[in-house]
Amino acid sequence: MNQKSVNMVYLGVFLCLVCAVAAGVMGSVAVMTKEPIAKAKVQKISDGLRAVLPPFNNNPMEDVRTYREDDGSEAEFYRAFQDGKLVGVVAKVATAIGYGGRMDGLVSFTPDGKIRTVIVTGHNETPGLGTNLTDRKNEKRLSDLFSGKKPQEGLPANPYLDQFASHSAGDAWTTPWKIKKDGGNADYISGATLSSRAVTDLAWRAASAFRKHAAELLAPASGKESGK
Amino acid sequence: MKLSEEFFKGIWRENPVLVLILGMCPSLATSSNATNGMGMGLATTFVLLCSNVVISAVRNLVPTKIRIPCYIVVIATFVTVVDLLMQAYTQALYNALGIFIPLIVVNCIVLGRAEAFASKNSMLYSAMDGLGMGIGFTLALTFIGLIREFLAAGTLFDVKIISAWPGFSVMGQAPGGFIVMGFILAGMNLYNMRRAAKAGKTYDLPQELDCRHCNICRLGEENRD
Repeated sequence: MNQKSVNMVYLGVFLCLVCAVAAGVMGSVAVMTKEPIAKAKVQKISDGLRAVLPPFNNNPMEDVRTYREDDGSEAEFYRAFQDGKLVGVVAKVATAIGYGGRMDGLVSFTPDGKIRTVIVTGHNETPGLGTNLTDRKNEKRLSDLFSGKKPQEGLPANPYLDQFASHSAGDAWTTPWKIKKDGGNADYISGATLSSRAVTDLAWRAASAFRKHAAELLAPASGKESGK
Repeated sequence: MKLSEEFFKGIWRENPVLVLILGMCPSLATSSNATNGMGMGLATTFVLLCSNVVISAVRNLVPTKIRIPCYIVVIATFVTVVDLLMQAYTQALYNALGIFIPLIVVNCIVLGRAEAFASKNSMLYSAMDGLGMGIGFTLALTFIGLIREFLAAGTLFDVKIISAWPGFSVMGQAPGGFIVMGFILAGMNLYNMRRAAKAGKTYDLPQELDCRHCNICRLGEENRD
């Protein structure tokens, strides 16, 4: 072998070694953070559920019902119980028609089948425009910082998300739900029409799926839910 | 060469964003508000510090011909570590910064410091250089973020300063980043030129430091013999 090919082998082996060390470091960190990452993901869903539901003491994530709709989309339903009594149902839905594409949301229902709260959990809308529809934000003011005022309890209001509250599929609103501009009943922000349509679509997907499977979703506890 | 000088040069005289104009993509993309800008800056600082120290430690072992792949592997390792740690412990920030955390790998500030400084200097100096450049990057991003956030929503770090602010939403988007960046650069150049003129000199950008003088692009020419 001449000098050049020896050199090449040496370089290859060296690079291989560097990569092996790097892989070792990355592997050990991945193992270390595996549990916290899984925990953080579960925490994110359960934080969302706590935000949209009244107090409950079962673990809704143990009993998830997934329904596939005709258009191929899926709706996941979580059922919340307080001492064995159904207090609410949450639908986890997604739509693809946002201005920034996909939009995820949680829609909670009261036991009598009406929408309780809508929150958007993931979106890619324009800051300051589309986000007026999707974000529930507690506005912190400078004066609050000095006076030591505590932040408000509960979910901050958002008129566009709150307009769906106490509605249900098949009531006075024409179905499928649409914004007023498209001949429906839902309010919208002009200039953020696509985001408005997406939020309305999100609520409608949840409401229509809930209506379809209401009997099953509102069924009493099967025993498992009564425990902690 | 003093330690403190290596630290402070990154903050003002050779600030990576505002003077060297390096790493523009993450700077403009993540500075839409002050919190994101600061988070991105701190993540990059961590990577810069660690990669500078490691690269400086192995600088005499790494064969010149494959130094760039080796640096990239070292940098990518630390970026992956930051990525995983942020996913585990700072979910909200991780969601906001999204794709820009993995993209720290190709941030030319990190590779630039590895090639221009860490591969030629001792570990202590390289650590100072990485820390200084990282903090300079963080300060620049936070500064741009504060201006953009204020213009877009009238808030600073999510605290409302002017309640009836009309809100220029363009400032929170990509064009706003370019506009604010342009004004800041113009202001810095004006300040530096005036100061140089007062001292009877003309102002030049620090030589041999910006993108045009980076050796990585000249690799092909070096090996042409």
